[in-house]
Amino acid sequence: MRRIVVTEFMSLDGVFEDPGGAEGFKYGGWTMAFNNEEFMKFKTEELMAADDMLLGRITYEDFAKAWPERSGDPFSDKFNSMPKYVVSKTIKKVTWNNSHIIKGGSAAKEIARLKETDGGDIIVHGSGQLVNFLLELALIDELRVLLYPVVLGTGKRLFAKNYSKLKLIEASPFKTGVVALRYKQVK
Amino acid sequence: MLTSLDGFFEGPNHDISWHNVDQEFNEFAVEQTSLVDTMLFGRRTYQLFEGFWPDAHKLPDITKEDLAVAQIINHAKKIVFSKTLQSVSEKENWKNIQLEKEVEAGFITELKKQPGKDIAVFGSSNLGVSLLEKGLLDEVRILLNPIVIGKGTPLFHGLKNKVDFKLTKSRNFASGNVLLYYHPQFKT
Repeated sequence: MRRIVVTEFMSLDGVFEDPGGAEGFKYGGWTMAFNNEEFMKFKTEELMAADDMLLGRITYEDFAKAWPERSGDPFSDKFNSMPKYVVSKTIKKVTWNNSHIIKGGSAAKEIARLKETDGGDIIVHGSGQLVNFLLELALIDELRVLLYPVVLGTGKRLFAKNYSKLKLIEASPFKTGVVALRYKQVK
Repeated sequence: MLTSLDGFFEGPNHDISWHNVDQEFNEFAVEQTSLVDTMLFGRRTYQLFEGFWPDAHKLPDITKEDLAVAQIINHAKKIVFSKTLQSVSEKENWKNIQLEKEVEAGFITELKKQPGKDIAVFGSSNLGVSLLEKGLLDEVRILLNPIVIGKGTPLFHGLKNKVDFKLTKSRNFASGNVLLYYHPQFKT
């Protein structure tokens, strides 16, 4: 059984919106000043352990705009070449390399089927609605949160309405004050 | 402040039933509380403390750590900031209390200048925000619980502008709680 690994950026007050600065949020790009070589190592290891990406529509569309232009480094090359599954009720066309649509209505079944195939981790970035769906169905094998030393006071929050106990696997601080947290979902 | 992973310090209707601490943390709490001789409170946290600590020693299952904390809290100088509370009263095992209507920078600065141990703010979110915005908060300690609650009041709710922090220390507990120490960074 393959693992579903959810990986997120979060402020101390639980905001996950626009960490990279491409979405026009008031504090967009609030993570950038803290991303050092420890961050790159964490994200690279995570990506290399994964064989598929699973995304919600909004994150998929943001990535599909930003990533195809990047290339020439192992991280970007893998991001662009690996299979991506976008879960959506409405999306009709996908333009990003190696993308596949999972229709909203059959998401649970399709994701379960994907987990049964052989391969590395199935990695989920951003994708607020999809993550809430996975959390509710207890489908998350590992939840990774990079906790940034900042309180934003405003912005979209992850985990709206869900309640779940977790088990801590690791908590490691980076020199920049970011804390890398890894949890299992307690079912 | 004790928070969930998703950054809430309380659930809907001020629910804190999900707060989790273990024996290891309780021992640590005694150590920490003994480094403090003054406590600042907002009304709600003050009333919670007043309702529990003075009579805590009478509870049949009280731990020795809680007994020690009860002693410290009783003797500490307690200052409550509230526009609505009319008065605060002393009682058995609950002395040394003062009520202030406003959070005045001058008052706090004077307090900090006095000789003595550190000044602690427990819970008291609105007070915390006020002190943070006035640049009077020196350290924030967040006890991150391994839980996602989805709804509630976020840490420093009401803060008008974003604040950057510097992580100075972290400590993991057997329960899965992670204690994080931060210093607010103010642009000068």
